[in-house]
Amino acid sequence: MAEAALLERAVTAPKAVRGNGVTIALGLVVLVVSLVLAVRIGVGASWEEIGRAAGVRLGLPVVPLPRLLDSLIWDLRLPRVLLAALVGAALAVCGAALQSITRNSLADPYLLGVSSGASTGAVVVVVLGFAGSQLGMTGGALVGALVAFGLLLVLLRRTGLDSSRIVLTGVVVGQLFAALTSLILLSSGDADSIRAVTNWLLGSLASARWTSVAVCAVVLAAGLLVVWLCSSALDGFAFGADTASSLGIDVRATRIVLLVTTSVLTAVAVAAVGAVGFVGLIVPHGVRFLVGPLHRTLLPLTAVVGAVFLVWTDALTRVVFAPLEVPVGVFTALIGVPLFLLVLRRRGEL
Amino acid sequence: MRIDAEELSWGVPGKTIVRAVSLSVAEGETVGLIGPNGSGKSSLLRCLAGLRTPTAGQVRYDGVDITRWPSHERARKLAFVEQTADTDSDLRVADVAMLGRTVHRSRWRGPDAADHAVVEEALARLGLTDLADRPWKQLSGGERQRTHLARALAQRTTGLLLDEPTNHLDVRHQLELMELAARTPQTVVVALHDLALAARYCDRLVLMHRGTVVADGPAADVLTPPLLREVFDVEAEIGRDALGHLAVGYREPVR
Repeated sequence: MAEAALLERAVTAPKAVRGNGVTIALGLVVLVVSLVLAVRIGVGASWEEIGRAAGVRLGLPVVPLPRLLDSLIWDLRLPRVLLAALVGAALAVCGAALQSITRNSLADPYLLGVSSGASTGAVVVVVLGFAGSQLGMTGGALVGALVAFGLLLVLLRRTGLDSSRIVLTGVVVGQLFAALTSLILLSSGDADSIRAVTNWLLGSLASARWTSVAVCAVVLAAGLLVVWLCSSALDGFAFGADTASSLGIDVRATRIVLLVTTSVLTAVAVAAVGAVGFVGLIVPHGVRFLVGPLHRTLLPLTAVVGAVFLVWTDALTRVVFAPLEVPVGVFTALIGVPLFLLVLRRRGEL
Repeated sequence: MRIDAEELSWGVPGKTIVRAVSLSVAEGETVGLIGPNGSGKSSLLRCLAGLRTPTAGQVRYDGVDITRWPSHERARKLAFVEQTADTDSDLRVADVAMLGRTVHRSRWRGPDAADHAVVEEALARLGLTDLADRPWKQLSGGERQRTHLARALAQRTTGLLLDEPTNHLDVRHQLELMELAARTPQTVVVALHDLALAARYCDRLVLMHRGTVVADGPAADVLTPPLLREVFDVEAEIGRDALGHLAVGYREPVR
């Protein structure tokens, strides 16, 4: 009797895994539909015109569009929507990974000050005169992100990475780098570059180009794979470092790999679109609610939902106050702050 | 497996917590680690588990020094259950037990049918089959602790270190758990507060006081009124309960 029950359970367990596969596939379908719909929002082009713009590139026998409209769709809107998807996925995955290694459900690249460090690094590169170089800005942002993480670790060296003070310390680090950014900008003195950089700092997808899409796509694919390969280690962190180590997880190496990977992902995202906050906080919480906390499923679905989330948030920024465009970071903060308070309240800290 | 500690010391800056402890646990033996709060039991267990690097001395598994072993090598030999391992995560009971399979899996694949079968068996041994789908956080303290033990069994190691595993358990589950620890062919080191329980189920008791081992041997030799007075600061009488098991009676402390 008991053995029969055991067998039945052993058979049902893999089914749940298949169910999660279906959820991820469904998420991908939603993502593709979102991308297609979002390309049209705010362009004023018809489906037929969008089809022609794509058809020409695919070598199909269609009549090319007038150059201006074609450029609007192909050089501005399409990279913008794709970049929103890539950055959303990257930031959401960073949030999920950081929350697990720090065992803190509020960890997020923005709240830990890593995004601010990346901004400072990118601004330094801009001030030095390499404003147009996507790779230069990404490199500067990466150095900034790593320095911010390093500072966070130094400040937490007594209490450890899974300290409850990590978010508070992260806010301090973030404020420091925000002040540094302002200082660097003001001392550089050029009013036009200050306005441009300030707009970018708030997080805006308006300047998306194909080069940033390419850089983001490559880095995101590699970063997501690295984080996903740490799935079972991330599961094992649930009960703290000692239990994780006793399970056979190399705690130190896993932490270093994940901190560097999330720094790289954050840096690429910040260099491309500025410091968009709260995506890493909002998305993983929602996805955990859907499929539970196991990372093999959680991480891919977090990436997909993060992509969908930022594509639609960016679409909102284009229509709500049209023709004025609100930086996308303003919208994610408007959604993220109430959620932050909700999480605090549930943990009894408010 | 055989576990040896030789002249093992460990501490934090300014405070030595484990002092030159030597200890041998033979294959299949169940050893009870007893001593007052702060006597160094948990720290010794962590050193034996390879979670802390000794400041002096060494730990050997089957005669091999483990100082330079990577965590996955240790985890194949020995499983460890902490006294308090808590989480905010919504892992289910079966998920927690599945953590024990981590070391037996490649990074590229998830749990397979064999892993699920091992987990089912471990849950069944601890009477948790009906709770398998419940979130671990929603369980009682005793059920949580049993889940950790199921996780350790699912690790399929030849050594098992348990830090006060009976703390939150009711009497029946205490007896069942100790029965399991005594009967399993695994080598077990278990820290315990209940002296009678330790005496009844362990092959040998190790008494710790201020970081050192002050007695090591059969329960009758370790649980003596003079030793209990010295280590626990209590006046005790050793006798037999109604069923003939060793029992410890305590007198009112004199102020």
